[in-house]
Amino acid sequence: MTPSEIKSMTLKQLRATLLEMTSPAWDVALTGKTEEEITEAARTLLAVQRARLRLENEKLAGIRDSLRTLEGDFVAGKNTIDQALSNLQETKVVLGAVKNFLTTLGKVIAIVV
Amino acid sequence: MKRHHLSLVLHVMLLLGLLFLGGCTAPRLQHFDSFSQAGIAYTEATEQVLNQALDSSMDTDTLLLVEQRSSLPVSERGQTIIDHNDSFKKRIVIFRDLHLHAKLLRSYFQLLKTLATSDAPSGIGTAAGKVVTTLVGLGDEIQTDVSLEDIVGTGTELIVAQFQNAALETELEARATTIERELALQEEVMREVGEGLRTDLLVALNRRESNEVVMPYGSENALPADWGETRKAFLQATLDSSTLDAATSAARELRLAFVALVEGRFEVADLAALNQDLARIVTLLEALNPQETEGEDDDTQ
Repeated sequence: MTPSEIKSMTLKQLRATLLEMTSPAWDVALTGKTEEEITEAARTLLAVQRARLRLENEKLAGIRDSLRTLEGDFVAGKNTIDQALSNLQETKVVLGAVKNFLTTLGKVIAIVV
Repeated sequence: MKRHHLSLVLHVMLLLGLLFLGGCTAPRLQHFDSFSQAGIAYTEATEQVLNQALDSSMDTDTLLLVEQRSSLPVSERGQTIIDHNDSFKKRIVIFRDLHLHAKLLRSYFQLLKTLATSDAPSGIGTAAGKVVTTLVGLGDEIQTDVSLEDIVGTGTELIVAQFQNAALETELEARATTIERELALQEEVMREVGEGLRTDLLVALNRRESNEVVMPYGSENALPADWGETRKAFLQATLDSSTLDAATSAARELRLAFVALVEGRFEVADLAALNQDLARIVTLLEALNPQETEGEDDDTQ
């Protein structure tokens, strides 16, 4: 099992434990318990919540870091598209292609006709 | 007569050629447009999900801290709140980074859409049409029902469409690996965020059921006058867990649509499932924030 899989399983277990410890059944089970037991239950519940938050943060930070490695490529892509759009807007560039098209067309027509 | 016949045949051949060229290019541009639009819609939904997830996690954490406070020894309370705050300071930075990334991705999709739907061809086509006579000088010589200028005007637009298409194809080729990796990571983000959100919402529901329904019933005190209505309302308010999978599903649908686009087998209908997922996300967010939704409705009236 990889470290990532172990973390995922741990996180899944922590979430399930948190749901169990916040359930109405848990509250009913704590009814009539000693103050020490209730304090210990509160400590444990908040410790589970903190562990869950840390693991979630860790997982999301890992994905965030992976996403960041792609950002340079997206910026490059944006620049490329920007350039293509500029070219498209520059009528001269496109008309150059059109002129070639028309010239060829004219020659073909002249020859055939 | 022969000359007229030849020119007519030539015009028809040219038209057919151009129509074929256009027939190949136009759908492809529409596919780029549809995919870009889906990408924009996805990133917008993503940002809303991120906002909701962060809000819900803070609300649930606050709820737990408040409820457990009286059970914690005074000496432990300070360190407890500091530890929880530290986790949220880190979380807020991570979510801010994810937001910034989503904005970058959205602006990329917006540029792709701009390129796919640029209206430059129409203006250029008109300008090019005027060049026909001076370049070729055949306008007066060829008399047919279809003018050469019409053909060239259409041809110019198709050339520009080809130009757009080529730029998009080049970008697609250059960025294919990055985009696919991005969308796979988006799927992971949405899965993790969705699971966290599911837990927070279920914890909140647990606490409501316990505090408003179960514990009052088990106490020695008289039941609140509205206890029956509260219980009924709680039992009827179920959390549709499948809705929380919509964000992950939307990311997957977008990735599959992208793969289809790369492989040239994309159909606009491929986005139907994605659109359904996005609609489910909107429904969920509206259900979670009824007051905000009502307020927005009021503003429009």
